[in-house]
Amino acid sequence: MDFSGIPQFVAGGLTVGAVYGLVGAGFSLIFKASKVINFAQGEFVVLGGLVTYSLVGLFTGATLSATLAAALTAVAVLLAIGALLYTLLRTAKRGSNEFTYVMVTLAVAIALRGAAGLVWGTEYKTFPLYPRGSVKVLGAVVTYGTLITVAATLLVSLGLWLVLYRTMIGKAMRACADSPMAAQTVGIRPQRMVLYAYLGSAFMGGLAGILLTPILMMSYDNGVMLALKGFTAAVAGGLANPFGAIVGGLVIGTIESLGVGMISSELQNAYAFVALLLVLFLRPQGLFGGRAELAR
Amino acid sequence: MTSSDIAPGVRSGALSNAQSAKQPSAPRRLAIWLPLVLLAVVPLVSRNPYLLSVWTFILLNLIVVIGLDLLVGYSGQLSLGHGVFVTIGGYASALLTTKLGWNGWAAIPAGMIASGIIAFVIGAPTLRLRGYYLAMATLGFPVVLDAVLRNWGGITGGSSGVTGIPRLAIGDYILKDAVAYYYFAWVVVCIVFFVAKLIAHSRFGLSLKAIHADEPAAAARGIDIARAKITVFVVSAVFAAFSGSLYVHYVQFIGPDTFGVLYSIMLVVMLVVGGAGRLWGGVVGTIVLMWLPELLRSTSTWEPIVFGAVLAVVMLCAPKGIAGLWARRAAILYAAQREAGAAQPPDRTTRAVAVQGDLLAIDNLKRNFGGVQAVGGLNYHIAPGQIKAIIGPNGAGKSTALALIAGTLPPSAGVIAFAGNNIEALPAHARARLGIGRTFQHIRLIADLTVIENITLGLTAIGERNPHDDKHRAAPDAIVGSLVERLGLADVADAYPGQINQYQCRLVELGAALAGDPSLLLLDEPAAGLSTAEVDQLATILRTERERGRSIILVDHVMQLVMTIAEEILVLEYGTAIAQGTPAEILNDARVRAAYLGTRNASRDGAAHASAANAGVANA
Amino acid sequence: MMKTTKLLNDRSVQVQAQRKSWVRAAAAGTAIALGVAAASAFAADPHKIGAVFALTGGASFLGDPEAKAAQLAIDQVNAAGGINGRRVELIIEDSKSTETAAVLSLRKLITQDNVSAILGPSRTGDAMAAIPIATENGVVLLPAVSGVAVVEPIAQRKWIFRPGQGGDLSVGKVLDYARRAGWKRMGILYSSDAYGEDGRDNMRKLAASKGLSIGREESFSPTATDLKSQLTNLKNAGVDAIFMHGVGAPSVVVYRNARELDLKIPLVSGHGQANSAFRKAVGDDVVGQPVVGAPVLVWKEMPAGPLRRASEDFSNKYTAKYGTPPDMFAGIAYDSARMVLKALAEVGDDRAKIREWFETRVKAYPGVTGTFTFTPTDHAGLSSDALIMMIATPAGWRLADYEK
Repeated sequence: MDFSGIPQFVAGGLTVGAVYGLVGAGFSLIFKASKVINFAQGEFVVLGGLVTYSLVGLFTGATLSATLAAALTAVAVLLAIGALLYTLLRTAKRGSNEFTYVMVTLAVAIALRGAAGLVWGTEYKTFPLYPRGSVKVLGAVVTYGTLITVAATLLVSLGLWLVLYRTMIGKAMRACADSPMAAQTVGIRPQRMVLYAYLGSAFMGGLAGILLTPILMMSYDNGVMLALKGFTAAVAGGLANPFGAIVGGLVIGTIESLGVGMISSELQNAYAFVALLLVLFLRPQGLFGGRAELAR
Repeated sequence: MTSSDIAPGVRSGALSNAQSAKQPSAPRRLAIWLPLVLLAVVPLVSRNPYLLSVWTFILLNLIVVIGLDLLVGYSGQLSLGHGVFVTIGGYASALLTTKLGWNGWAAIPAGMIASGIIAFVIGAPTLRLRGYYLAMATLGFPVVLDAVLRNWGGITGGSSGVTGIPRLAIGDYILKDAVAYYYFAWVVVCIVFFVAKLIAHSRFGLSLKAIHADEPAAAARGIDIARAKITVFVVSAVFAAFSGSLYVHYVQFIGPDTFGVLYSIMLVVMLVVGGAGRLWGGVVGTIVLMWLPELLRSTSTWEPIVFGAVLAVVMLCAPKGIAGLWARRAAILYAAQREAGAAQPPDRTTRAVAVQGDLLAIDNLKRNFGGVQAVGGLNYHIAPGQIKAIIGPNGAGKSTALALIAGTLPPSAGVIAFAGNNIEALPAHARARLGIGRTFQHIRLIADLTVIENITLGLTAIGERNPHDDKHRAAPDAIVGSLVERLGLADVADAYPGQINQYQCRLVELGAALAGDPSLLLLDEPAAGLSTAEVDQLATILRTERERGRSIILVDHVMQLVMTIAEEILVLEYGTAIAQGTPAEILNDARVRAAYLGTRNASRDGAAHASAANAGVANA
Repeated sequence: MMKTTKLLNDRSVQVQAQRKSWVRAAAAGTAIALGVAAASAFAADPHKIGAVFALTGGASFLGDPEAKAAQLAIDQVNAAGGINGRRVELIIEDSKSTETAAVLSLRKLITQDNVSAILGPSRTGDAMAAIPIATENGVVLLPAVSGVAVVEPIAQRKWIFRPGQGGDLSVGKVLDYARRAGWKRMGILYSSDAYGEDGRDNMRKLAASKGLSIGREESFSPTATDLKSQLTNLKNAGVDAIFMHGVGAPSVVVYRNARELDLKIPLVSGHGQANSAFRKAVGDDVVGQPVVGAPVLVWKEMPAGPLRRASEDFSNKYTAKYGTPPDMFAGIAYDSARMVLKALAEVGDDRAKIREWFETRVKAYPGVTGTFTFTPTDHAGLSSDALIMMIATPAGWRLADYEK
């Protein structure tokens, strides 16, 4: 086996793993707050990229500031969509359990994908964002795009940690995740926390799309695989742990890339899932999941 | 004793509500077959090949969905990757017929067997996962299989799939005609439905529902949860493979992604929209959701949006699916069984327990939770036909001790010997099958099953026990029937736990434990929340069971019960025994009074004062 | 207390029952409405051509331009007064990139809509599932796929005519170019789907006969996001050039990855990249690299003649109507549609006559993707002159030098 390519494989894996991680963190956040798996998470990513693409096209000249403005607007749009999804879920009847909500998010995902196909067509779209060029790390070519993506993901991680563990809102969210009823008795509104979780996930999903599209292009159909891989990352990290998801994503992306490079490129999609299955069989609560996850 | 002895006004009060008391009539029981009967009529309405094609694909999917309902709807195991087994069946048939020249009819069972084996192999580790972890793991299977099929293209045809698959033939007659294939598929669906119904409406089906609702309760009834889950997983995989085989002989082509992730998810969607857990719900859901895209052909680019909207609306308005709009499903076991039981002479034999010495002997039993020692070095024993009690303040470790004996918790150290054998390594359901029955501090009945079904569930614990007094053992129906009579539940036999009162629920749980013919009963706070009269009745019941040779370990705070029926009482505090003796001795023990019973007005007559002192302490 | 509970139960049951009955009524009403919609059938008067394209799903990048091009062809005829005074109706069904939906679409077109011939499907799997049905029902099918299994064995493909270039022709072009360039060891980078594997298999079959060997094979999933691993392995295997045969986003990304890795090995692409969506997305990363293409993309450089005229006309009209220039997939659909239209004009609606027309009356028919000839024993219409080797330029494409 040829080991000389490993640094390159790892570099590629980290790029895509960062995106998986962001998507996975979105899953984890919503799951933590409401025990719901948001199937529309992949569509958030797609819309983040496509909306930015459209907005960039509106501004004349794709300068960096125009692109950033477009990106910010796209994030705002995503936040609105996240809030809409949350509102829709609130209309559910009594007698609904988490599974009902999951089905509704699946419905929304299907509808969003169809809408994206109608609006943007079937072609791939992209927009420029990263400066050209790369650096060499341990013999591997690491593009600025990769560096920025990974750095942004780590920043988001840090931000997430700060919010969840250093602000009152974050504490309130964690309290609600543990016991909504107890949280209510001290004046926290669990529904408000769930809304924040949806907003946070929409933000991360949208950001993932904005980071990914300049590297990889985006089409209306990409949501399914992204959601699957992101979900894998979330589960590998321990479902209710957003940082676990980001780490999980990086790990899964790297394993996938190493598998492709060193074993066989035919089985590309299989690596992520085989890795996940191994993690789950050996540690059913995920890499970072606590005992609580076992009971779910 | 009948239920009229209970406080007047309570009797059957809940049953004047809604549906369930009356035995469902024959037409209602047969209603479950209605969708299938209607499907038989389809070709008589139209022979249009396109329409028949849609219906045929519906039938093929029904074969999968019905099996999936047993897995997802009944046992609550969410499989988002069931297309894997359809693919396996399809490829088996495709490859065996095209590459090895097998007869199609021979290839079908081969595919089903292969699917069952693979389901067993991947099910064993996967089904240990819960909830979304399980769903996620199953989601990976179609992806992995897809990659494998493409990679080993020399055998499987790779991404181009397998073409030229021959039609099925009976002798010289080739099964090609649209109507003929439709009816052939329909017959298969009926057979599958019938088998599924047999499974669902058997005690095994009850077990599945119990597992779905409450695994500890199911284990306490003696249900081997792991084995049940794998069994239903394998059954559903076999059905799915059958469907795959029929598909390839119809379309004459299969590729690696014909039944991929999206298909697998769609199976669950169809099931859930139709209403899982009722068998006919999946049928309706499949028909509706497969016709929807056909009706939206003229606006096919809008179809996903409409589909998503329909799905969202259904789930928001009818969370239990279309079938859930109807009342609770018809009960499976009816009061008819009870009548059959009453006709038999009640079981009066005393159980001959072939045990020398103690029935249960515990030596130095310990249980830690992190740094907390919930039970520390407990030594205990009980002989056949004894009633003993364990009391103590909250947090003393009483429930923990019961859980350790029952097997719900593994011990940190110590030996538990039951009927001469060490059982501390056995799981809960195995101990139930050995003859340890239990009830829980918070009543654990399966809300989705009727009273009689809940009690029937307890029969599982009889397991393989082959007693010498076999001729004294009555038929299962009779056991349940006589239990229902004895416990005064005759009038509520077809009610659901949500419709009866607390005391009746307690009795049902007791009945479920007794149905397993336990030699040792562990009761955790059975008297909590009961009135004085009810406690008296309960005491009578328990004494009767002792006459039959059962031993009972009782944990409770209600001194009215403890003091009157227990021969010996153990007092725990902070996990260790602080006193042991007869009720009189315990009442006068200074340490016990200090820790638990109260030091003021400590008197000879324990019952009156103790129950007063315990009015607040009880019902923790 | 029991009584209160009972009352509460009653009321909540009542409310629930009311809600339930409302929902039930709505459900029943919807069911009836859907049933009525299902019962209604299409009216039948004009000439009818059916089409099964992948408008949604993974292969939608094929189906979308195909549908547009076919519709353009029919619209042109209708604008000119139709065929023998009768309008032509094109009924396009979505195969959703799945075999089941393709089968249903086909059956609907054949039995419900009574079309005279069917264009498509777009995807190999869909085509393989469609072939038995078209054969059984006796309807001409024109699958827009390049696999050889579509037209062989000829005995079972009497009703199937392939309007697209064969994968072996595409590979043959690449090997010719490779030989001219003096390359000896080729690397293959193919997508894990029917199209990619077809290219790989053809490469394996034909390389030796042209004097080339295969140094290493790598594949990628159509959903792959980064191909640097594969490129690294190919580079380390010391190949002279890499033949890329795949579709989808990865086929764009690979060029970027190659530039980022500073690969210095030429990347030759099969005809899957011969479309404007790819050209636009890949930008400068592909400049200078050879890609197998169709005349319609470089018609400006072609010598005057019917082929050039047809390509120019088609390209202008398509661009005018849809805003982007057409690609090879659109061209294939356009040619299929126009051939069917010609058949309808010459022999009418009869399905069997149309089949016979295809087998006997298509000789050197000038399409936009090449010159078509069908015979009773060869239902693959195009020969190697339908493909040309292009080089990517900053502005688009140009013909490779030796092709001129």
